[in-house]
Amino acid sequence: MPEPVHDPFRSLERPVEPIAPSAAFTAELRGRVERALGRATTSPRLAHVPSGFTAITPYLAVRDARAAITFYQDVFGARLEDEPIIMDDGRVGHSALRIGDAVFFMADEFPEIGVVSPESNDGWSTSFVVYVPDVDAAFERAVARGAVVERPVADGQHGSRAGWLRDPFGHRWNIGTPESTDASATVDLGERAPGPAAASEPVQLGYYTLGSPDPSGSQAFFAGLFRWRFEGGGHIADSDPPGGIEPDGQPSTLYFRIGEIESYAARVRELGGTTAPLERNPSGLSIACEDPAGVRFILWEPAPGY
Amino acid sequence: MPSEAVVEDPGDALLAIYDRAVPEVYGYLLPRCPNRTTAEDLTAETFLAAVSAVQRDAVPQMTVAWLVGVARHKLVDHWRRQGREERKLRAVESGVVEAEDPWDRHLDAHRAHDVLDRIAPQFRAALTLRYLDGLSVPEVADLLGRTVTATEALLVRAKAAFRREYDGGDDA
Repeated sequence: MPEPVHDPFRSLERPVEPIAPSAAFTAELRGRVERALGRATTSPRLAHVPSGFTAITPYLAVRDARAAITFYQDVFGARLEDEPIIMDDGRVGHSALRIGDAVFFMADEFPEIGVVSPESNDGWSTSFVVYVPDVDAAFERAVARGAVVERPVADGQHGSRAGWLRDPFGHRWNIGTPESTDASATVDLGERAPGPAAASEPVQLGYYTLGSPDPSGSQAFFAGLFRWRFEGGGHIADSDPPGGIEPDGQPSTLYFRIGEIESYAARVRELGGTTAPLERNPSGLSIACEDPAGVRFILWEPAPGY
Repeated sequence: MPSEAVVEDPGDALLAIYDRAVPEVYGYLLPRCPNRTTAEDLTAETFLAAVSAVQRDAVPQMTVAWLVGVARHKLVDHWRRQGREERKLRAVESGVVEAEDPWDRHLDAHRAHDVLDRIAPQFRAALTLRYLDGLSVPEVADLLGRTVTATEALLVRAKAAFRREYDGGDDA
């Protein structure tokens, strides 16, 4: 339908402007996110360290910083934090690269102030230890781009599968993968789960019923306990999610809100469960299911507005 | 393969953009929520939902914009829960669609925010997505899980309810 020319509602438009919540909230939520991600957070972020950094940042000197940036991007998946700073003579004066949760800086050689790369020295004073998801693949990529293997990848170095190499710019790296890392295990389940809408959100309980051999007695009890008011059919509106007392002696049941109900039902059968025929109600589609152990539950694809 | 090398773990990406993303997500939610507590709760829900999306490998690309999109879904879920609690849904759904009279009035943003808080959650949802967020009617329909026609009708009713509350609020 056409909008009126002077629609006063248009003036309500509100573009997103950043607003910082309290520092305590932000820090506490970060902790929850890190724990949920399974990151072993040994210590909270230090107040004196700028955001995004750890207490130590390596600063590498190389003879060709542009080529080195590409190399570290290709081999370690490094990302440039900002555009590199280019000096008047064309040398890279500063660049910042992030690998995972760590940052390192890099610049071209400035021998006039004593900053030189390992290519201008004999041997190393500093080496770098980096953890990657797949050490063998990272080694292959590095060697294909001109790195020299110092010590091949092997198991059993302090619980890591790791090896040493010298990159084309003379720096010495120990690249490793924790032996216990089984990244595939956490990913697989989700990849198989049907329903793109549901896959990005936790499954929500949509409704529940309490089974009772004496529904009106139970209604009176819960009305006394929680001050619940019951609507027709034993429906309870005063809980979140809403629920109901089963009117005719059926056992208790949980209703899970999901999308793409048919693909979930197929998955139930695939996993050894059983499914009843699809039911259509004003509130949406539902399928009663049992898991292989006989646990009853209901898949519910709510109608719009429910 | 070089293309594999630049794929970053999305969990790392989430932590890397966390400090920048929190004010954006909270900045989206706070003006659309009745109070700070609700905005904080939904901010937390947004980031924890992002974690479970990471664990299901269901994040196309971890960006601030994607997180604000998750926040919008969380807000819609919040209104939906409220709608169920307040049990206003059925009464509203059965209402007759009123004609849309022209209404030319300068809206005060502060007062509009208060009025949005007082009208039924599904009206608040429709008006917020359509006007505060500036989404198209089909986008609003998609977020609310309704047809475009039903959403247009909902918007007409929502504007009428808003207007009654806004004009009536003078003597309140």
